[in-house]
Amino acid sequence: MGNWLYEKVLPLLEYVPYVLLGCVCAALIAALIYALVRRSQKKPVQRFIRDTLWGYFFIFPWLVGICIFFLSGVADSLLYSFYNLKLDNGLQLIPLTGEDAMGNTVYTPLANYISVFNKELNYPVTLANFAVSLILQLPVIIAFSLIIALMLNGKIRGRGFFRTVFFLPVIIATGPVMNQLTAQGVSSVPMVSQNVITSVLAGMPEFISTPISDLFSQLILILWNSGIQILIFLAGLQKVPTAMYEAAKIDGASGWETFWKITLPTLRSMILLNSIYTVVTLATGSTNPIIDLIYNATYAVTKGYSYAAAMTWMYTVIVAILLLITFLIIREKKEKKSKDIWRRDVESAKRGMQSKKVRKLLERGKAA
Amino acid sequence: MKKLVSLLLVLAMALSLCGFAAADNALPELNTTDEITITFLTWDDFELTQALADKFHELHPNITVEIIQTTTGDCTATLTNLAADNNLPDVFFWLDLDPLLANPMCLDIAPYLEADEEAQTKLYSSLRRVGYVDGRRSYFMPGEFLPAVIYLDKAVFDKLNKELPPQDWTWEDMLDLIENMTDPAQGIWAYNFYMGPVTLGPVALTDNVLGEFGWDGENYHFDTGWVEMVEKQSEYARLGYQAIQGSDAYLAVVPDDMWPGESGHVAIQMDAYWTMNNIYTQPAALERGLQMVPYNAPLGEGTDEAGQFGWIDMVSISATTEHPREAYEVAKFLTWGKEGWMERANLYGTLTNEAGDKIYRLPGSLPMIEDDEVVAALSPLFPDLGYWNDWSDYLANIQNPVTFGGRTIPGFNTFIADFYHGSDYNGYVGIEAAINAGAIDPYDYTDKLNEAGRQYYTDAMKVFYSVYGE
Repeated sequence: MGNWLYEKVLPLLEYVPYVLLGCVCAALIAALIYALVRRSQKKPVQRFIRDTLWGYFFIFPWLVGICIFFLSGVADSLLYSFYNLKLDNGLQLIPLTGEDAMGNTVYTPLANYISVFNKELNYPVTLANFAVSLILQLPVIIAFSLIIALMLNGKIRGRGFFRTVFFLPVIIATGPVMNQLTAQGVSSVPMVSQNVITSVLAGMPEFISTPISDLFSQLILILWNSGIQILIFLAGLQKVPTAMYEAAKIDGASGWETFWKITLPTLRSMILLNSIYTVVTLATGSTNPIIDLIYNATYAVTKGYSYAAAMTWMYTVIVAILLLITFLIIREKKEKKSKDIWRRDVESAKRGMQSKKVRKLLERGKAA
Repeated sequence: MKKLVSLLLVLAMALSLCGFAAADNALPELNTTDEITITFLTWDDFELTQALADKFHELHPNITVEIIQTTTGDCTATLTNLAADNNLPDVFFWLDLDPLLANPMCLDIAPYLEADEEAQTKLYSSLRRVGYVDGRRSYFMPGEFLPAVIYLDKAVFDKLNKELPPQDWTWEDMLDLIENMTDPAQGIWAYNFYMGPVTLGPVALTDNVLGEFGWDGENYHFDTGWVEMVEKQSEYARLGYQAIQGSDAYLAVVPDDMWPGESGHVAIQMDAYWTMNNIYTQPAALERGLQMVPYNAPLGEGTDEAGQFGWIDMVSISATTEHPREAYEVAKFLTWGKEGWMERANLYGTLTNEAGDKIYRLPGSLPMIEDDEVVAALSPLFPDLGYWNDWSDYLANIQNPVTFGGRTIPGFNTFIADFYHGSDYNGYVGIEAAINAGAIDPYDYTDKLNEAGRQYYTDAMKVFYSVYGE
């Protein structure tokens, strides 16, 4: 199996991004030719082609970039994970071999993955800690960014300035800046004593107390990670028709009721998007201990690049599972995707937001 | 006739042996007179390195040294990326030994070192064989030396009516001071550290030490010295001898939470050489009344050949260089060689920044060779601090520099990351965390640590032999 894999399958991996790029290019060229031919014949161009061609045209540079600079790296790392990589006059990929029960040399392409299971005793613990801290951090980031987005969406003076201020950390707080800030102790809220938090959590099991303690010690950094989420929520808020709010207001709905019955349901897809973005950001952030673990393995003498690549792919699978769970929890229900969803939502929102006073008056009217 | 022939043969053999020995003891002449370029990867100060490279070119007009700048943070990634691209610099600094052992990137420079009289006689004895990974072949040599320095704040000592100890103090003297210098009434803590007793102690208390945790070339010595230091470091924090930034007690005295080492509230700061240039000789620190007196890391009482911990960056020559002899000469001139150091002394005294201010208030690093001429050239460059000016005593007490395990001991970093700081010790991750929490008795773990350390070393050496050959 190993031999076949090394000779036939794995070498093809390097070509996958370029094949993908070729497919995208071919599809775009075909669509363009089709559109031009139909137009020259003065025949109507299919709506799908007409609408999407321009979109693909505009994102084409990004597609080229991701295939050449990102997917090629991804494919390479998958390839390396099945080999032993050495830096000897450039990159040398050495097939992984072992001995079977009879003492014969056999190819063992999964040896790095098996080694990770056998050697990395810290890996499962670090992964579990990451999962717990993710569960704690995700709601904090989503709630904070939603609150800030709601505030920034209001008609306040200097709105543009405040929007800039809240987005600024996304631009300036890159890895080295974050590390410096953490080193200088500005990651936590000064008035919150870490000692008090530690003493309160003293009785709890370590796998729970540590992430909670970390949450408080890095509160500022976590909140600084909310810039993109605020921007996405702002975009979502600006798409909610004002007519809905006006109708709700006429029906006597309070701001609180409007938020729960109109704003939040409308932003559900944005919450999903932000949750996925947040999970990905936290999973790949420079302060994530798993990234450190993988980085250290890359340069460890008994581990190396290929071993670290195997760790990375295992981590990728775990993050994908976490994303799937997030998606399943937050996704919109299927029936809501029907065509008349908008009308029903408006009606139900209106019904739900009639204040108690109005409802009582209506009930009395019906009774009379 | 036969006798004459035999005599002639014996004579010829003796002469040839003499010639062989003479050839062995002399560094061969530079191989080429062609115009060549030697690439040199470093994170050291660019102005200084470039000036040294220019001086080398002046001495050897056919050799140009091209400097490739990196940073300490990016060094390993830069180096491995260049190696992956088959574009390794001829000479390069590095921070982490392990990737070099796992990939055949370095040239065996033992023939050059052994033929170089200066290397054999002038380098500190603890540094002469530092790059001999397997005892026979040497893959690196010392590149820059920045000793650990224990700063004693004379102003704080005066406040407590205490005398400064002599420069040849012992490890026990230092511990005694730490245990007696805390005065909560005056808001004074005994000490603070960058590298603490656990790092410096086992080096200072072990004879013939070559690396961290008492490493002797084959084994670690997690023994009484380590146990005492790990317990004392924990105890000092618990008893309030150590100034802990951000703690309630510290914030009550230093509300702006300034780094303890420059707060003026710490008697002893265990730190690094560069802090003198970067902080303690700066006007801001002097205006605040800091009077930091530098001391070498002391040796334990009764030890003859213990070591002093320091930051020693290593330098290697590429296995793929086309001009190994010239690369060695460049590496030597730009790092530890006497000729380079004489020029370096000149540059430390004259280099200025764009504003015309001197870049160095004192030499940026210290020599790795024992040479009176170099010391004489450097001595005038050390500033008179006003409150203290006994630099000659300080320099005279430097001996047996020993550096981080990750730079000299195969498999050290993996051992520390996975076992020492990464394993479970009675419910705590990392042995120091468990000791600090009082969850384990360190004496119970010394054998396990020695055995595990040995195993990580053996595993790393297996990889080394598979890459570089037996």
